[in-house]
Amino acid sequence: MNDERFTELLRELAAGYNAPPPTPRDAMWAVIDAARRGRRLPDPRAAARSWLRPAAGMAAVLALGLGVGWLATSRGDPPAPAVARSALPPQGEMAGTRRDGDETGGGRERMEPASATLRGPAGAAESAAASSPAEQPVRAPVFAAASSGPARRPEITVAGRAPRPDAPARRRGEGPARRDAGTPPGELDALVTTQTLAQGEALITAFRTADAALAADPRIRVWAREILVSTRLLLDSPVAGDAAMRGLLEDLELVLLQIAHLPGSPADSAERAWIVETLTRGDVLPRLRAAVPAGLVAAGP
Amino acid sequence: MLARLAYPAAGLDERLLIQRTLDGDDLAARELYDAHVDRVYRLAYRLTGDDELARDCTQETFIRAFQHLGEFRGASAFSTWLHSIAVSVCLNTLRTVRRLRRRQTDLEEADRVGAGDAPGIEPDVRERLKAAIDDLPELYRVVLVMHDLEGYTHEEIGAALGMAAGTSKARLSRARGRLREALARFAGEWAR
Repeated sequence: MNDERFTELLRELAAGYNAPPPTPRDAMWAVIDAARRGRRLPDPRAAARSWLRPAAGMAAVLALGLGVGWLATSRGDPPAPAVARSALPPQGEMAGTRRDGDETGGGRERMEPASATLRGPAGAAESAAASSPAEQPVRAPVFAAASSGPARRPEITVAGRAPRPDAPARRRGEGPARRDAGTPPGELDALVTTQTLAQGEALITAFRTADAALAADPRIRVWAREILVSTRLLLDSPVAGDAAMRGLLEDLELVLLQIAHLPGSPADSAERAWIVETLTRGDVLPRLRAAVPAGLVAAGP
Repeated sequence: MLARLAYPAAGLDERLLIQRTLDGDDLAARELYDAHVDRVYRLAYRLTGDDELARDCTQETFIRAFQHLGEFRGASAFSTWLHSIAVSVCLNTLRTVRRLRRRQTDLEEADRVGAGDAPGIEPDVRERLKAAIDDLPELYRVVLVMHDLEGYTHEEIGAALGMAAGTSKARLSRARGRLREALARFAGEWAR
């Protein structure tokens, strides 16, 4: 067969090789236009999602509460710290005892809270000698204790906590007090992030390994929506300041969105294929696994 | 219909359409779409052999194009820019989904579609040629489909695939050579 004949054969074949049907212009435009409007115009689904904001707020509060509880238990702090009451101080003004009112009496005395040890005379002398804030013992949030007479209460300091030179003692009215001065600011954020990523990893793993029928299970979509709430919150949090983490959260959000909007038909393998493509292109699962500490188990809904 | 009245296809100024689209003119966006969708869809269908995938690819192409329209500087023709997106989307889809080969092994469908379209070619040869095209390496097949089936020039193919026109010619030549070998083995004397 010479080139001319072969080219002719190809041309003849052209009409039959994957011959395109008439272009479904309007059907495709409807999808494209919706995507355009979704970015440019106010989202028409915003009203439907109006319940999401309070729900997201509640979820955030719940997550914070769980995180605080987890931190409290994982640090091994005793729930009711023992107070050494063996050495009551002698009479006289106790070092570190503060009054809001008249120093001579009748004022309101501030006293350190629980988880403390009483200071004896030695402690009082030590406190009296300490003049710089850096040398002051770290105080937990203080509370006012009514006192009818001159201050005779011992100063109670937080037991077992090393004073931080850069952590001035907090007093009432000086702003929110930290639960624990030794807790790094980002620890709680990191905890919530880890939990969210672990949930995402678990969901994606389940989705990838599921057959078509199971992947179309409505519970998968519900699960994805629940994680979406957390990813959106995290994207608005300081966690998203890290470019790599932000990228991972955005990729995870995209996958979750696709899963959350997956049609219920098990036969719709194209949609699943698109999700798998998104996962593959972004290396989402490996990045999630790298970001989640080994051994952390995420529970489903 | 309104779009067609507002922006007649003949002699439309694409730069103006693009600018109006960027300014939020929905009619301009639709006209831009109408001017190019047929060729994009045809190419997507030729490459995927599947209506659902072809629709997905076409939609994804235009969604991306509108999304990044502000980045189009006019250094090349809009169609070149658009087709480079389309080819990228189609290839990505084919690599990932891998539905093409399953669909294209449906010989009954091939017989039904091809019977009325290519008279004068024996069905067995047609099937074999179709299978041989499917078996080509991806980039050979894309070049062959774009050039021989859809009439793209080597310059257009090169721009869409990010390679020189000469590379496109070389790949087309190799693709044809492979098809010739496949047909020679199958069709015997007829193909020699």
